[in-house]
Amino acid sequence: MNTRFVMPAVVLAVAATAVAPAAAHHSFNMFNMTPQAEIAVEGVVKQWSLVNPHSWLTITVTDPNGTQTDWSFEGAAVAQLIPKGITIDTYKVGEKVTVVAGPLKDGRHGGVLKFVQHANGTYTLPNDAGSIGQEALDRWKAKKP
Amino acid sequence: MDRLSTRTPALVAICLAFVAAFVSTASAQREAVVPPPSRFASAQEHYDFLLKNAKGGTKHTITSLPDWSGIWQSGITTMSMNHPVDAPLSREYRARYDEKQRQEREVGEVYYDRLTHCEPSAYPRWLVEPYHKEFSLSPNQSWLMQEYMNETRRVYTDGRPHATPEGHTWLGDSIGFWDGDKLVIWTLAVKAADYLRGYPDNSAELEGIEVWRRVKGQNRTPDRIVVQATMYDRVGLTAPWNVATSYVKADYQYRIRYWDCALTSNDTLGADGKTTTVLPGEAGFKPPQNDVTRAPQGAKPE
Repeated sequence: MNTRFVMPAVVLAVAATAVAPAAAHHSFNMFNMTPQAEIAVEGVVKQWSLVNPHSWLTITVTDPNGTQTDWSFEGAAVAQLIPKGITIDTYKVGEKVTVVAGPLKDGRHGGVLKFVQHANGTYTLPNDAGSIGQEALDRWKAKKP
Repeated sequence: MDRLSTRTPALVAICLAFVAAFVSTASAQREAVVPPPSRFASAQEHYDFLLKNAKGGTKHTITSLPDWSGIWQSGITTMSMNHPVDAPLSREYRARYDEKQRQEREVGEVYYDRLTHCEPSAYPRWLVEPYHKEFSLSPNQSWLMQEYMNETRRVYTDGRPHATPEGHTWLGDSIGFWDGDKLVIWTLAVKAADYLRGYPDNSAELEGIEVWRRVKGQNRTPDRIVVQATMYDRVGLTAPWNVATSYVKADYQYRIRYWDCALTSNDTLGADGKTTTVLPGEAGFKPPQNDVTRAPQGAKPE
C-alpha cells in the first residue's frame, strides 16, 4: 500500500488541535501523530502490559530473512481501557496482530498505539489521546475495497 | 510495514466530520461559568460571605447528605478553560503561558509535563485532570478521590479552621460547609504547579473557593456534579479567576484501583528537554511489576 496520501493542510491542522489535549500524563511530542506518518506493523504479541500510567503492547516482528525485532507501542491507562472492554486477556502471548500506530520521531522501534487488528479480523482500540484510534480505524476501513 | 493510505476526498470528509463532531460535542458539554454574587478581595472574604449567606451552614446527618455515589468521569471536555484562557494572568505568568502556547504551535504539545515523572496532579489541576473521581460524604468530612496518583482531598466540614503545620502540600488544606445540597470548599497552602498540561501555572499563594452541587440530567444534559470555582492568586493572577467543570456519572461498571506510576512509567525527560520514552531492552526501562500478559491456558509461567 503505497498510494499517495494528500490532504489539505488546514484540515490536518484543525484535526491535530482537536485531539491535542490528550488524557495521558505526558506530552506526545515524541510521536508523529499525523495520519500520513501512520505505520502498520504485523507481528505476534510478546507482552501486553496493562498498567498505569500507560499500557504497553510489545510484538515481535519477523522479516522475510527470519530476523526478529521487537516493537513496543504505548497505549492508554487502565482507567481508560477497562470501560472500553479491553482487559488483561485482550491480547494473548503468541497472537498474531497488526498494530497501527504513530511512530516515534527518532526512528526507534515504537510508537503510540492507534488500533489493533486481530487475526480474526476484529479490531480493538487501546489508544490514548482521545479519538486517534477511531480516526485511524475509520481511515483504514475507508480504503478497503 | 506499509504507509497507510486512502483516497483524498473520503479522508477529507472523514476529517471534517470528525472535527465538526468534536467541536460540537465539546462546546455542548463545556460547563458554563456562573460567577460568584460579588467580587471579593480574597478567598477568605468570599468564603465568609457564603458561610454567612448559608446561616452558618447546613448540619447534615448521614441520611440527609446528597447522593454522590458511583464513579464519575472527569474530562477536559467539561471544563470551562479553553485556549487561549481568559485568566487575568500576571505579567510573569502570562509569559510562562505564552511559552507553552508557542511550544504547542511548534510540536502540537508542550515539550514536557511534570506529571511525566509522576508528580501528583495537585490542586487546582486535580479539578480537571481527566481521570475517574469518586466521593465519600459524611457529616463532618468529605473525601474527594481521584484515581490518578490516588489523590484524595479531605474536606473538613465540622467547623474546624485551616491547619497547615507542614506548610504547603500538593492538595493543600481544605475546609468547608454544606449549604443545603451544595458543598462549599476553601483550599489553601498548595504548591506552585499548574492548572493543566499546557495551561497557565499557579503560584503557591493560590487559594480556591469551590461550590459543588449534583445536578440531575435533563433535556439531554447528563447527570453530573458541577463545580463552580474562583481562584485567588496574588502572584499568578491580577484578579480572581472564575472557572467551572463537571463530572459526568459513568454508565459502566468500574472499580478504582491503586495507581502506580513511579515503578511503571517509562516516559521521561529527554536530553533535548522534550518528552521521550524508554523502550523494552533500553537502559532504564522499568519492566512491568505483575500486571502482564497472561500466559495461554496450560502454559507454565516464566
